[in-house]
Amino acid sequence: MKILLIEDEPSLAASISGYLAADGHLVESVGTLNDALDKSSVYEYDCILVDIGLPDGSGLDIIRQLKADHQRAGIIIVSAKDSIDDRITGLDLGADDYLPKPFHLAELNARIRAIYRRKSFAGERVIEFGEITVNPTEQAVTVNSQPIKLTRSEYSLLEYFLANPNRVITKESVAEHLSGDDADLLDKIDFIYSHVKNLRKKLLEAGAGDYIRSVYGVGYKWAKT
Amino acid sequence: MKLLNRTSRYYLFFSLLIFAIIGLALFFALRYTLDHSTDDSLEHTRPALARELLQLKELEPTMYIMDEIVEVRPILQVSDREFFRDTTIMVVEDNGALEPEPFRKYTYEELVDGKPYQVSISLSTVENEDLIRTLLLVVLGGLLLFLLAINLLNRYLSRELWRPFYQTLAQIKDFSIQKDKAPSFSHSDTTEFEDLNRSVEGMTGQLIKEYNTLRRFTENASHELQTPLAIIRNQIDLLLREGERSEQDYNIIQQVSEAVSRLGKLNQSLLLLTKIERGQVPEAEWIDLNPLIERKLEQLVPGLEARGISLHRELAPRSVRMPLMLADILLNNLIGNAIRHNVDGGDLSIRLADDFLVIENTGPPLRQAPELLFERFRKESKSAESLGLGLAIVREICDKYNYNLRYTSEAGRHRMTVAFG
Repeated sequence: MKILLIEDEPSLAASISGYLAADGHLVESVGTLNDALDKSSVYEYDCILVDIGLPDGSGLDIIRQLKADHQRAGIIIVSAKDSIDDRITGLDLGADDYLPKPFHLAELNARIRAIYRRKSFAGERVIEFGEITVNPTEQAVTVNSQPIKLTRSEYSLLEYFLANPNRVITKESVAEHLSGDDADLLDKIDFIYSHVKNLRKKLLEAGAGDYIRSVYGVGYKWAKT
Repeated sequence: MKLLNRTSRYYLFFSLLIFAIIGLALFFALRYTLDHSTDDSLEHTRPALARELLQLKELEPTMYIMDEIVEVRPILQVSDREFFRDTTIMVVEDNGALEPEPFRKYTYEELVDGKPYQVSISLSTVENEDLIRTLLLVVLGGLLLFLLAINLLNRYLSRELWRPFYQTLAQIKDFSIQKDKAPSFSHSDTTEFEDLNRSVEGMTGQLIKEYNTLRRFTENASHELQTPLAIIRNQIDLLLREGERSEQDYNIIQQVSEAVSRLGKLNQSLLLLTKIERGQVPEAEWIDLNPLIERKLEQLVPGLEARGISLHRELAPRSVRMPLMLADILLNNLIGNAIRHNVDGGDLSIRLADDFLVIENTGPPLRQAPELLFERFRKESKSAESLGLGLAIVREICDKYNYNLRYTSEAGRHRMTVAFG
């Protein structure tokens, strides 16, 4: 996937592009609005990550420009300015998602994948991992073609794991993913633990492999052993 | 008590005092003067009466001579003794009834036709008494009129002179620091009121300025914190990506990750508080609380089961008008709190009715005063999970929508009640 990252904070840009590149994406990073406009007018991207507060203007301008050019790229606003106005304006202008800073890279990765799936007409509409198939549109999960029933939290957890296979995901990141933007309800590790345990049990019972591994105190890793 | 009532009371008190003094002085002065003139006329009667008595053939003990009652009593020897005193004598009125009437009596000793007698002349003073009574009535009437006039004047003053004061007062009452608008007062011709207005204007202006500075500081600090937080967080994610690490490394990473997450939440909560204060919230919509609560509980059930907490719910349909985000946070914080401060094997009960939402949980007794519960950074537990902002946010939301938030506790149960206005 080809991604354009518009972020003026160098170390943030470096960590984001590093993380995404390791996932096999092609990431180009720019730090100003002008560079971003130059790049986006010449190249086609699958996904564009925009910071709103840029040194030479507002990231919202680039969204306007992209929409005017009828670019098909998915747009995610990644911004410290999580004021409701920015969020609403951004989404109204045609951005696909909004991720307030600070976010977890795993969360960003999951959002990019979700947008890519929604945007790609020919591409994979379902997520597959071995015997497990997830249909995000219907939020349906099958193991060896047999449907299994998951709670909302378990489903969300599974989708999160599948978007970030083979890497350690921190408990904090899982907690935030499960409770949405307004975390605090599910901040107890017990609660994540219960959801993970239940999901693992259901998958095992349905005949799937044991893919969820707890990594010391840090978090979890979804991987084929 | 109103200032004007207060002044009226003083006016009343002092005018009563002064009128009492005037009344008493008047009474005694009149009394003295009238008695004196009666005594004079009685003394003047004395020689005329002596001549009158000489012409009588026989002296009766009581005689009526020239409107006066004359009593004579033979004595052994005449002395210079003479005195005046007040007395009451029964008099036959026009209608034939006997009535007591005040008299002034002059008693002296005198030789009548060579024989010693004690003579008393009594003169009716009923007219004097009438005069005094009339005068006192006039004075008291004057007092009443005076009081009435004072009262009317006060009302007028209250309406006219104090009008700018009451206008200022109304504006101050209406003033809210969150409205971001300093009250503006109209010009007053009274120096004191003008001074008051200018002082209040200056004060509120300063207040708003300070408040805005503080608010902007919180806001900016929170904004500025977001980027470094994002960097730390992302670096942790990167660290975790690179191959296998030792258990010790993972432990360190875990602690950093937890701390960063906590900082992030703290930051988010502070931003949220300033946003609610400034009214920067999405538009309100009608939200059915019932399904919202159900959805939250569904997420929580596995965790509750793990801790052996039993859940009771009694949810009647009820919708509120507020932004979904705030309804979400309100419920998250209240329910989250009831779980965080619960005990293993305890219980949690949620009741939603038409006019209230009650969340009740078992838990150890509160260690701090209940009224501190809703203050910022008042933590009940030292645990890392608690930020000390949850209930402050709940209160802020409730204040905004005029819900009455109450905490009560009995027999090891804590109860939070949100009464919908």
